[in-house]
Amino acid sequence: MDDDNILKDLFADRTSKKTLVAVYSFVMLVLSYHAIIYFVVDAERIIDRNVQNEYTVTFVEEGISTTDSRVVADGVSEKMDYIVSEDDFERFHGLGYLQVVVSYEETGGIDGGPCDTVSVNIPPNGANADWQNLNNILSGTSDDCTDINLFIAIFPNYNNSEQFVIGVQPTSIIEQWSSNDYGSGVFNLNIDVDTNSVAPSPYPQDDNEEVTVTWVAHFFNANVEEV
Amino acid sequence: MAGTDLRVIGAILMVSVGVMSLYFIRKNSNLSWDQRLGAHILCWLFIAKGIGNMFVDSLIKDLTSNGYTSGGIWQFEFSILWLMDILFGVGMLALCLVFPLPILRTKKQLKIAFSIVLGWIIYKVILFVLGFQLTILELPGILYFICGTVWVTIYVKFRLIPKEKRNQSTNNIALAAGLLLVFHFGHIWFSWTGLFLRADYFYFQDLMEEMSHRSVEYMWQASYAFAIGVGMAMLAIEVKEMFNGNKNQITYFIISYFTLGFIGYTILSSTSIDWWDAGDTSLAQIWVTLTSSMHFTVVRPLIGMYILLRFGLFDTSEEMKPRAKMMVIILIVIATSALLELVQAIIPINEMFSAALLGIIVAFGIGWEERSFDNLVNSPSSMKDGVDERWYPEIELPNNLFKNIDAAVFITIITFLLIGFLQWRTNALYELILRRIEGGW
Repeated sequence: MDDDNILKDLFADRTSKKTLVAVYSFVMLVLSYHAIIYFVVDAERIIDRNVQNEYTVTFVEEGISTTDSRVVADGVSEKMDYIVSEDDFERFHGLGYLQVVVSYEETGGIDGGPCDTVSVNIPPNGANADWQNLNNILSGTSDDCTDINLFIAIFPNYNNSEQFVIGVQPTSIIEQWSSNDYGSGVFNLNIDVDTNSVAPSPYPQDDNEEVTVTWVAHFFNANVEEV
Repeated sequence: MAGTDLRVIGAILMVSVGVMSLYFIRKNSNLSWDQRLGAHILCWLFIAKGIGNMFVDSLIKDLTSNGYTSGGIWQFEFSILWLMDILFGVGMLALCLVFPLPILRTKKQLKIAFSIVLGWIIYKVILFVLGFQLTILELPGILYFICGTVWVTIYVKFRLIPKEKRNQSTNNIALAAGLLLVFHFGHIWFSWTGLFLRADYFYFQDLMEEMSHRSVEYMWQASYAFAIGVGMAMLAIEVKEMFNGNKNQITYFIISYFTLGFIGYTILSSTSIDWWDAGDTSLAQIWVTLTSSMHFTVVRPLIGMYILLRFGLFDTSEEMKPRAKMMVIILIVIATSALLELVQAIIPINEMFSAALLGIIVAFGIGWEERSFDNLVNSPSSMKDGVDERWYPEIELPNNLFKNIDAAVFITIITFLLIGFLQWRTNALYELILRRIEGGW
């Protein structure tokens, strides 16, 4: 026997040879079965399984407004809070962005007096939002009674435009756009008023202003359609 | 903890087993050339696979959330996973040539075989760099065929050796070959029912969707079918031997795996879930986590550890024994905490309770380790006593060969990390994906 060749030893005796041949034959049978299923019986089903792989994602948006007003005294900083209702979160996939409209009119003092100066800012904390987004407008000032418009991006990468996605399953796309976390927490708005009176005492003085704040939460639902 | 976190813990477990085992094996001067070579290869297999697995979670997260993005780090993660898998696959090929039974019997055979092994690594890396990964040129699954054929042949030969020739060593050779088959094929055996009942979760297996051609997927699935065929043959042999009163550890392993595979059909048959879908959100995902994912991450390192200890590949001299025990305890703690975290993810239990439970399980584990460790290392099972000498030929190898092997594999891993980095920075994989989506193969 040639000691250098292991095959001769492995197949040396008749029993081993028979058993090994039986095992190899069985394995070949399994391989043949698989090939028949793969190439004949289920061939079309298997080929078609990866066809739908390109999708467009569109968003249906709905804005929900909440209005609150506060009389802010001259030189005093007031704080207003806003919490997004959990019920609203349940109805939508996510909260896209938040618009804050701060409005006021000239009241107090003598009629026709100059508008007060109103300054507002939203500190980037307290709530879970895309605070680093370049489109955010977190502060503003008005001295002519025009509205101050603030903007906070909430859901990262959301801009309500159609998106094209490849290589991701529809369920994963929806999952990607579904979260109650973004927008949770407390949004704080700081309001400062600097009143302007027409004339000094004894004329009636303007020492406060009523400021109305409208929070518009823009929720969205994502729709995925195969291209 | 999501089921996917298990992969990171499993990766840590694998790298730990690999690095610590390598330390003990390098200290062991009593090993024959084949055992030493086998042990070194096994350690590096763990290290390579562990490094690759560290990137799996983030890769899956990236691709499922964002798809294939230009410039995305997924290219680096994919490259590392793929390149480490090349090392793992080729390592398994090298291992089956020498362990548990050297099928190479002369220095010339050894040189030729290992030149082919080295050539195969270079060939696969060249294919990867040139953008031919996941093409038929890679002969996907071929290593499953080779390793499976070698080990099942050894297993059958020695498991069913005539009674007059049967002894502890022949049983050990069959056991080691069987364990290596469980190690390599175990996760595939869970899907055996899917193969025969034409389930989507078997036939819809997709290596990398757009990246892999149909011929590649067929080859890959065929290698799975091959592994299942081998497993079923082993199951039949083990059941027969059990009725003959000759059961061993393989009997329990293989019956458990095939039983779980049968049960799994009822859970997975309505899905086309894949290994990367492990998680904790649906019953199917939990099942994948507890079976194939668990095999990859926890069972493989434990089998490797068992082989190294059981067959005396460690240096377990009195001086080294405390360190070896420490290593086993570390591994028990990692594996136990992984299991418990997994259970907690599926069945939320109070954290105080789970912490206490962890303590109790680890205490039992260490208690078990005290007895079983001593049993294992004090009486390592030989594969050579009473076996004809021609099965274990002597080959003289240079003393510094094994140090050189360690250095070479280490440098290879560093090189692979660099290649992965370049693939990412040059956007190579993204451009490849675009070409393949457009049908340019």
